[in-house]
Amino acid sequence: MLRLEYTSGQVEFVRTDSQWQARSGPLTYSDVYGGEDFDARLYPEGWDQSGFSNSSGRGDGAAGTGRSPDGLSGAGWPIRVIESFTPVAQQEIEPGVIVYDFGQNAPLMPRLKVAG
Amino acid sequence: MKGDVVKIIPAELRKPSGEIDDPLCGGKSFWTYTLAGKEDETWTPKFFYRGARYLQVELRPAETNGPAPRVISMVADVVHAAAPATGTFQTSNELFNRIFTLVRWAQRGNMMSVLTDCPHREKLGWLEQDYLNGPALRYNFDLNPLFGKIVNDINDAQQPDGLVRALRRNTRCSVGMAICSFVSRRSGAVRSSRLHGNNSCSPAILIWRAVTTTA
Repeated sequence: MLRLEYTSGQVEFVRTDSQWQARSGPLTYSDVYGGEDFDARLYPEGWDQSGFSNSSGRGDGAAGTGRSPDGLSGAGWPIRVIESFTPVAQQEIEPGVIVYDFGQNAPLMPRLKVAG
Repeated sequence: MKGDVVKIIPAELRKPSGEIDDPLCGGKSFWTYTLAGKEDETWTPKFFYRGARYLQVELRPAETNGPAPRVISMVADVVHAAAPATGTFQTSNELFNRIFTLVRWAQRGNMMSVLTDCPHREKLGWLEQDYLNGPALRYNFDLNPLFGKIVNDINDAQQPDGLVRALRRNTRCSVGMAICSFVSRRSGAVRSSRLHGNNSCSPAILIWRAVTTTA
């Protein structure tokens, strides 16, 4: 659900309904403690373009409840990339295992570029 | 090639042998990326972050004894609440400056959608962090929107009889009231947040007062 706030003060909600389509995506696991798995083989190319055929998906999106949400618990600052570290050192400790040292403890997300 | 897997394990420490040392989480939190099989592929996670200095990358080929995938580059993005920095601290004493830098990183490492206790094993928004660390945080960052949101969280979790859930009524419950008090004082707003309409602090505090005086 999206809450849109216009400069006029008008508030509008955009909800999913039976006109929406759904399918599983490439993000196969996500947990605040466990981590996150992404299987790029499952990425539905072109899903964000008009004319996309959702042939292997379901025809019905989850219908909204039709009521406005209570509270606005998402209304703090957004979480953003504030700065980026490149490694200060790296070491291949055994074949196929590399340890990267970024020089500072910080709340991190990796940004990987890889070739198969 | 298609089906190659890159496993990335975060850690704050490493052993003398070079491998990561993750005594707090046992190496059990990690990211994996499975390749689609393009010439090169770029990926960053959408949700999971962790406090870490080291990332251990394990490269696993799709086929046994096949060629392993190759890392072209590895960057670490530092993620936290996009609160503008409003304060800093500098003296002629390098020790004090380094303590400030240390504290600043601890603050940044826990400034998320709630103020967490640590960026790895718990990531919990205990109210004492808002209360005990709140004043120091607010010298360094503009946190009015985040504290407005935290007050809203407290109001959302408060039970009809006034009890703030998961906190002991007569000790830590007062924390919610203290947070509301200093949010109002620091922001100059009577309501805790412009966003939250009728969900201002005042009704929650009044109910809580009623509970504690009749208990």
